[in-house]
Amino acid sequence: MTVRKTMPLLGCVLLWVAAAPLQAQVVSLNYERLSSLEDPLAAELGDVTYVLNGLADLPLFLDLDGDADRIESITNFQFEASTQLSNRWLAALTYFGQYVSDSAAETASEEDYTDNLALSVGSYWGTVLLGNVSGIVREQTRRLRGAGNASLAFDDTLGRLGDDGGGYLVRFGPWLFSSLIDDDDSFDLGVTYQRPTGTRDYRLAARYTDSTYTAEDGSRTFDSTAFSGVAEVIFGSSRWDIGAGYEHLSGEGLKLERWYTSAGGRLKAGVLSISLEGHYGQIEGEDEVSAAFGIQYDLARGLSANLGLNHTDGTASREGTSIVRARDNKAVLSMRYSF
Amino acid sequence: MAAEEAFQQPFLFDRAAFLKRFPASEAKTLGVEWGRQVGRQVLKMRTNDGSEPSEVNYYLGRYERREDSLRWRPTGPFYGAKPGPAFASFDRCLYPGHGRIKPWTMTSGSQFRVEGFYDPASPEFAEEFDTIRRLGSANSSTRTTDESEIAIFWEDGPWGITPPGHFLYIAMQLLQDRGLSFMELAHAFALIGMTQCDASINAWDNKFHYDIVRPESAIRVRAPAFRNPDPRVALEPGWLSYIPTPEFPAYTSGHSTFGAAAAEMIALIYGRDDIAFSGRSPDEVLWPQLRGVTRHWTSLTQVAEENGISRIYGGVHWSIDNTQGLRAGRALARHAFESTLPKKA
Repeated sequence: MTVRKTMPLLGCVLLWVAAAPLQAQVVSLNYERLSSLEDPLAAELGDVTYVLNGLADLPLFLDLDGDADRIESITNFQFEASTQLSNRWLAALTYFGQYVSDSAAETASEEDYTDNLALSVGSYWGTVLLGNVSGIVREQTRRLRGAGNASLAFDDTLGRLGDDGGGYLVRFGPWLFSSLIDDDDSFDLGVTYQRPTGTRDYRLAARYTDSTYTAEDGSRTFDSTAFSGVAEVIFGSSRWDIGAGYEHLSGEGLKLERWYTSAGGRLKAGVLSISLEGHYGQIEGEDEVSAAFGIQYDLARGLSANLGLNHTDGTASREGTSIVRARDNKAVLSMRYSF
Repeated sequence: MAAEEAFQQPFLFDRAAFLKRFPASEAKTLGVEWGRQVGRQVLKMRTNDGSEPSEVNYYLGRYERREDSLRWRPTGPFYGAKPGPAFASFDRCLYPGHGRIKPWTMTSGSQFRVEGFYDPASPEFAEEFDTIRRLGSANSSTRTTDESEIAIFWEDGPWGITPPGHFLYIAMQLLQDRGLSFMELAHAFALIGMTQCDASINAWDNKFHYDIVRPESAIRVRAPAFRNPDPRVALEPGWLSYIPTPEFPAYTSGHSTFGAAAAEMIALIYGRDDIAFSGRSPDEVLWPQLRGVTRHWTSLTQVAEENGISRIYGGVHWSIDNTQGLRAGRALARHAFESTLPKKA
């Protein structure tokens, strides 16, 4: 069966495919049509290559605790201009924009649209990045993201670096070093080691972060010092990883200790990706617990149906300050298209 | 210096360890300086060689898409061998502009362009279709155990060593005990390396010039569009290839081109083709079933042909992709051996 005619028909088939995954492999969506915008979205003018990527997501958030459900639309795009300089350095300027609409919100937020700008220059001596690059160390050293709409709460330091800063990445064989400093002198250091051994591929990552954290109720700001590590093994099409971290928070006469562990697995079989992960930690003896289950079902190039079941439960307060407070059970369903 | 550029990392510790092996002397200093000069020259030669925009997976107008039923379409992660690698579904085609980058030894990327593909309504295509459908399927009853092993042994996907990496590994195995001098080895590996790159340019030029559909797409969804009167050209929507189908057009086989170019060049350097040797797969991580598997060959020609036909056993290529790829690979290697880096008398 090939869908060739109209968008309504395409929509019907998409819904049918999402509802009948076991039969979906006999369906052929015409993903050549879905990719018809491919060529106009990339161009080479002179020595500069321009590429526009985009993503549209329509998630439905179902609150399993009985609170209000809501539906959003999320649209991202990224525009990059890159070139090779005469000394062979690779230079790229990237603009990223995101628009989020929340129909359940009572008033439209002024922050519906956010954007980033980053400049990178790279050679064999590594890559220097400037601009809104606050996630570069975290992305190199984190546990693998869950599939679909899985989102494991708490699985990071509470402390955050500012959006704007400068970073440096360099590789020495299986070692990848990453660093970042923001305009407030907070910094992030990371190292990753990955090498196949025998029939398995291992990745080890460590990260040291010096940053700041504003309490959940906004009443205090803490200096955060954190160390975290991840170990991952890849076997065939499955990945398994564990993570652990320790964080010291201090500010305005209050000192807090936090530790956490997490573990998860991800499997891809054909067009189906599944992940399951869990997290347990404590802040000053008070528990933080989260779990996430995710599914991504690829329907066509760039088009996927996604599910996430996310559980979050963590509350900690000291001296009248609410440090963290999150309790939530959500199912997130979405259709996503990216090009 | 050139290695730093190719691998995009500063080999600080490796370089220091290598230099430490030689005592300080004027010869060492001159050697280091000569190496730098050669590295700079190579880098200058390859700057703006067209490879940088070619790394973007967009056509950028370099090749026209065909509009008939043979047009390539993105392929899914549908394959049967387990355990095996995980990779993105329906990915954008890989390096559509690679066939347009400046070659090392060929006069142009299309110098050894092969003849056209079959008419999809022809008896020859029907025969190809039926062969791959039966022999290359995940649960083939005609493929032998040895043929299944061959399909995985030479899979060498982008997640692992890749075909050029595997053949450079074989070249090191064969040439290291040949008694060649340092200069002769440098000469040999320069020729092998350049022809491996040119094999990729040749194969990618063919792939994107002809834009031919993969067996996976043809069998699962495209068969009726071929209007082939042979009843064997029929749709089989649940068909799975044995190994993963790469995300770029079929014709010609990159594996066959790489393997033939390397085997031909090694034979020319070695002075003979009938070399008996054995080998293990360098990639036992994503194909753990290869652990402990050793294959034996009696000639370099056999190695190239086994590597090429592995793609038929795996169900990811038409037979003509292999035969034409082998022919092009051998031709470009002979051309490079005769015309590039001639030895001084």
